[in-house]
Amino acid sequence: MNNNQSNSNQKGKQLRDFGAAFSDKGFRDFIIRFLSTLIILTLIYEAYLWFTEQQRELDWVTYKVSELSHALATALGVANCEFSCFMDGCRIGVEGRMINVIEGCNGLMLALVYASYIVGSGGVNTSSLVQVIVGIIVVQFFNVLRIGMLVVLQDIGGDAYFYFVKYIFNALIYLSILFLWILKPYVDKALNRQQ
Amino acid sequence: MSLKSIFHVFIYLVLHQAASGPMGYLLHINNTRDFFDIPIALAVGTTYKIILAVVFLKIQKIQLIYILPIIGLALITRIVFHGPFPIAIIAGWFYLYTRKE
Repeated sequence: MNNNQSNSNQKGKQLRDFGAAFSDKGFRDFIIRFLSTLIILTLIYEAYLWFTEQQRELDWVTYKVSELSHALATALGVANCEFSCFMDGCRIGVEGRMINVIEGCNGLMLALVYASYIVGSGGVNTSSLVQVIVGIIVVQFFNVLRIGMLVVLQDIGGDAYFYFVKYIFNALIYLSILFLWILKPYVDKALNRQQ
Repeated sequence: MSLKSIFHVFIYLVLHQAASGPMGYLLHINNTRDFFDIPIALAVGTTYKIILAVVFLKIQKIQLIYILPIIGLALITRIVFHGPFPIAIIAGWFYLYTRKE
């Protein structure tokens, strides 16, 4: 009884100390830098999307990701693989089994959150800039691989297999981001040594 | 970082994606791209994802005072910026993990 009471008191105290997380300067600075970077990068991206919409065009990133995914699917042996783009996205694949690649599938928001962590934990410096650029390329590489594989699976596999691979593959993309974050201290060290 | 932690992250991500699948399917059969058109599914799915994130952070021995801000950060990332919820969770966890190391 007493143990239960002391446990619930402790939990209550932890909840009351919610603000304590923000009195931890390191953690607070991380959250502020993370959110600030995300806001700035998202605003730039949204402005770019607005601009392309005014031009009645599809954004360049979605187009390039779709084009490269189509090239990959063709290279992997999908016969009669078609590719067409409209203002709201691209369609890739064999007639009747096409995949719709919309702006939300271009992997850029994922790359922006990746970049926010890099700046959030390391601040704005040359090392962060290099890692953000390399990270965006890596994320896009995995994204093209993912969409290309999905086109192939849609062509040859059953629906269950398609969905299974689709969600496992997303988890693998997220893991690749974690690995880039794990490499961060080593990259920082190597770049600082060079300077 | 231990292999055990990476394995936990992988399991967390797969379980998170397991909820995204049916939700994506519900969007498809309701012929919409907006989750607010299927509010019950949105509420159930979001609750599941939050519980999953809390369990993951608890298993990683993150204190409750940090768990709530990390969940808040992930919700802001998802709702305001349409970014990936689990990556924001992992970002918060990994920051605390590397700092401890």
